[in-house]
Amino acid sequence: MKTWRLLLCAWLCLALQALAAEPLVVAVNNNDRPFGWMNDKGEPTGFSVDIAKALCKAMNRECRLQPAAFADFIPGVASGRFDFVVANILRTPEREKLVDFSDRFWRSSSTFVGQPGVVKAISRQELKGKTVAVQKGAVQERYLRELYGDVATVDAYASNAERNAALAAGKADLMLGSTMSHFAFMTAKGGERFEIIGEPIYDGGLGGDVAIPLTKGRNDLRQAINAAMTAILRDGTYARINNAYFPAGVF
Amino acid sequence: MPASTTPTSPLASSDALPEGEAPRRALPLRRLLLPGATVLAIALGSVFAVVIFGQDKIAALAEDTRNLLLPALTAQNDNAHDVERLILFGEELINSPDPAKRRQARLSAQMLIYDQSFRFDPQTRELGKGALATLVSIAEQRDRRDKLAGDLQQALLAAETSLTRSGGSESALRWLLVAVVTAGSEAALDQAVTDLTTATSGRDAQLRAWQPVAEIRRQILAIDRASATAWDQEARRLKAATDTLAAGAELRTRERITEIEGEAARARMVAILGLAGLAVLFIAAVVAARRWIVRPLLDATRVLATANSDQPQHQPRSSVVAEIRAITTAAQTLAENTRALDEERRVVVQVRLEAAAAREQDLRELVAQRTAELERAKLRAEAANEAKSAFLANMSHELRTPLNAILGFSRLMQRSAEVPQDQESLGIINRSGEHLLQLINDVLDMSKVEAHRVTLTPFAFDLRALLGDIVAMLGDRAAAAGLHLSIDATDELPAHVRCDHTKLRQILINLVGNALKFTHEGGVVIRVERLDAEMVTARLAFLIEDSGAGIAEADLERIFQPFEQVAAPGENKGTGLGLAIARQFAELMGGSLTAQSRVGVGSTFRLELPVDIVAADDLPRPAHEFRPVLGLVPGQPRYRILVAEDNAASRLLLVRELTSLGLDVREATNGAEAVATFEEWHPHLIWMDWRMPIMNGLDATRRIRALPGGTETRILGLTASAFEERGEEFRQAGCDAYLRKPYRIGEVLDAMTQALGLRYRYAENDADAAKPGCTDEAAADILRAVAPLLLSQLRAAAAVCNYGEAVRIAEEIRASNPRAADCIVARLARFDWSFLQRELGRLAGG
Repeated sequence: MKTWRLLLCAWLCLALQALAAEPLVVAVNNNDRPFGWMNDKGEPTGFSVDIAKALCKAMNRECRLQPAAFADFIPGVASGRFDFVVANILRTPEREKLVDFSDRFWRSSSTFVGQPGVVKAISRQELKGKTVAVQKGAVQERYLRELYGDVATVDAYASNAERNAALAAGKADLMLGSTMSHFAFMTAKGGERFEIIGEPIYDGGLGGDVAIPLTKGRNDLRQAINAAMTAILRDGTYARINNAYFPAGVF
Repeated sequence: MPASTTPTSPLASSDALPEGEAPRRALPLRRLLLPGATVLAIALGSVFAVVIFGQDKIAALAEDTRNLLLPALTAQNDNAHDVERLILFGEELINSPDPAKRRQARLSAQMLIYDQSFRFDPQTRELGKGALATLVSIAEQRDRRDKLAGDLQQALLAAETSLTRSGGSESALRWLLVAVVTAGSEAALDQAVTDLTTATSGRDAQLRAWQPVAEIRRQILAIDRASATAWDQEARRLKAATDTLAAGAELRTRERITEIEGEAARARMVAILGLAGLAVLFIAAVVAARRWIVRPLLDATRVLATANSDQPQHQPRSSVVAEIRAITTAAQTLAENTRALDEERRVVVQVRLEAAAAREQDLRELVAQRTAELERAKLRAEAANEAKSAFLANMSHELRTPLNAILGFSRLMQRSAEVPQDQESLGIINRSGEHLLQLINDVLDMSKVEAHRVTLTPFAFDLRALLGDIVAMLGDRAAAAGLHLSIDATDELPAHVRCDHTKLRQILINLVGNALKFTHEGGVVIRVERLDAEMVTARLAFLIEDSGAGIAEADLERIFQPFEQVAAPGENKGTGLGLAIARQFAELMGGSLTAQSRVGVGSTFRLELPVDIVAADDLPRPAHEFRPVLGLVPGQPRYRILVAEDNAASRLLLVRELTSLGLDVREATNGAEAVATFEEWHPHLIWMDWRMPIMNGLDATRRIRALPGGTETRILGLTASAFEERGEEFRQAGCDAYLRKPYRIGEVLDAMTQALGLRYRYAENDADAAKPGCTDEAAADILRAVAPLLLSQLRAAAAVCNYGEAVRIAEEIRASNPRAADCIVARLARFDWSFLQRELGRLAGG
């Protein structure tokens, strides 16, 4: 009888703890249109931000959105400062050593953007002496340094917005980043002169599944995120958010 | 089933029991038993095997459908969807006249082809690449066409000029020219060209200026045709691809459905056959058992019974059957009864549940309906209130802006007017303006009170100075009407208190003003008492006593109602809102306002108010003394001031005031101009009006703050709005401070001192130097030098605490003895009656 009571007590305690769970800390981009940026009121907004909110709602969990710089995402999740990150983060083997990943959240490829005529094609010869802007800590940075680091100057910026600004201001001849993120830049004011240069890059870790990194070993959270992702894909929430930001379905 | 084999085995062993002829009949059973059981087991086993195998196959099919086919179909569907999107982007590219939109459509198509379903399936990938090439070339052609359209306009203009110059039958030619420009097809163009050629052949060469028009038009048509054809082919290819994809998906779905249906039919067949086989086997077993076991047993029993009783016995057999039948019947009845009971219970529960649900539904609908009604009513009320507020804000702006100009300019002119008559007229204009302003403020105050938009701004101040101010303000009026106005304040009064002093001042001015208005002889006394003896708070009573006509008992409460006027017609001029506002303010500040009166003797208005007591150190800087400013104290930097204000009169007024001080002033008539002037001129300070056309003051402030150097400039807002929350909006936009219109020049100067540290030269700056000399000790000497007649007048005024009279006499004294005048004014400003009474009394005595 006593044992039963104890067990019941323990079970109740656990249940209560689950009910009174702390809000999840969800990191989002702070300066990367259209994925995540701060609007006039200083609130985070964008595709990833809306998806993050939809996931939290589907999980029925309270979330605190935490805007952060790209380079801070993986270390933040690895150290447990963030519970998970909804941002433009490609799933790569190196990152998988540090954090766990959810299922796919959208699919990405990478492209170069520049002024037509300045750089005609993407090759070591063409890039000689040129300056290429890229986001700090992104897979594209490593790719550039490995392939073109010895012939071209690679300038890494803390955010995509700063990278875009550098290209627009003529501080760089080219930039490399995720194809979908270029669309917003090229159709916005200041981006009219630029075009995609060369073919899209899918391999070398530059294209593939963008997923949600979360602290290692939290399987329950990963399953909850995956279930929530399936739910928002099924009930049309994902499509609605998608169409608000992109000309094509990105999942 | 095993059930059928189990009874066989114990019975099988009992077949040894019968004796005589019985063993002969039971013998084949034993031989049949083993093969029969084996056959049965094999049959059952195979049925199970078939059923289980069939089930496995169906499960595998289901899993395959879920895991592979459905995603594949979804992907195919997405693919088809993306192709459709691509077609839409193509249409946009062909049809949109806006180059920005065309670029967006092309980039969208590019993203779609690079990033989405196109990149996975090699076949669609090729398709996407081809489509992209077509789209890019169409985009280029479209851009070229835009350029040609520009050329066409030029050529058309040239042709028309040429036509006009050559005169003649130009009207007909122009129509032909229009036909060229609007030709929708090459055939139509050819026709139009032929017509024109005929019309102009053998004519002046100038007339042939239409030829380039036709040429360009031809090129445009060619591009249109080529683009349309190229896109047509591409769209057809894409549509075909979509159809193929859709058809493929449909085919695969249909195949799978057929497969599943076949599998299901097979499983069903196996189950039916298996069950049928089982039934046959079971029946066979029963028949066999009856034939070979039961019957021999019964026979044996009968034989035994016959042997025992020597009578033929049929009972055992019939009784067994009857028993079995009875049991079966009973069991059936029981089952039927139970079922009936269950059914009945179910029906009852169902009915109850439905009734409950219906009730709940009704309630929920009722609640929803009520909520919706309430919501609607609330929205309506809010909208009405909002409209009212907006109207008030507008009215206050519309009324105050011209009034502001009237007051400002009359003051400016008064300063420079030399003819006394002009002075007087300007004084009247000014006073009338002030009165009008008071009326507007009253109406607005009342509306604000009604809209709950009044907020309290507590402020530490010198209580006696406030009372002195009021007497100074209304003293002239009292003197002009031959009335005395005095203050009777007890010594226990705290010197410095904190409360909303603007509102207190407004209440007191209203009460004293009213008292003066309705009193024809005698005067008005402001009595101030302290009602408690707390340390940090005090409850004060302000009693305004007059010796006027008094108010009838019945009217005493009515006078506090808005829009009520008790006095005889023609006697009162006002909105009738003053007392209502005063009482609302008093209550808002936690106090009360009541009145007592006796007709023919006079009235007493009693304002009770809680205030905080503060130390003298807590007092903010002394209120600005409105003395004429002559200019700036020399040696200050030459400040650049920008005045952004759309109303010409208000702008001119402010610009003149500031220029006359020797400041560098520029003007802007709207926010956009202000931003432009800021960028070019970088003023130290900007006066920014709220409401301006093109760009309002808030937006302009935000813009400027975002510009380089924009945070160094001080920006001061101006608003004619009466609503206090506007101040917060100004601050949020980035303004350092704001003034409400109509402002007095003193407020403007004060604000600039606060913002830039500007220092001014005042007309009576020398007076400041004299002040330290006016100590208690020195006062007697200073006063002694004043003409005795003036001194005795002053003594009389001081005896009844008549501030207005005392100030007037002090100014008279100034002509001969400015130092003494300053001394008196300084004491009067501190409301130091006891000093004046004492010193003047001593002089008279001595």
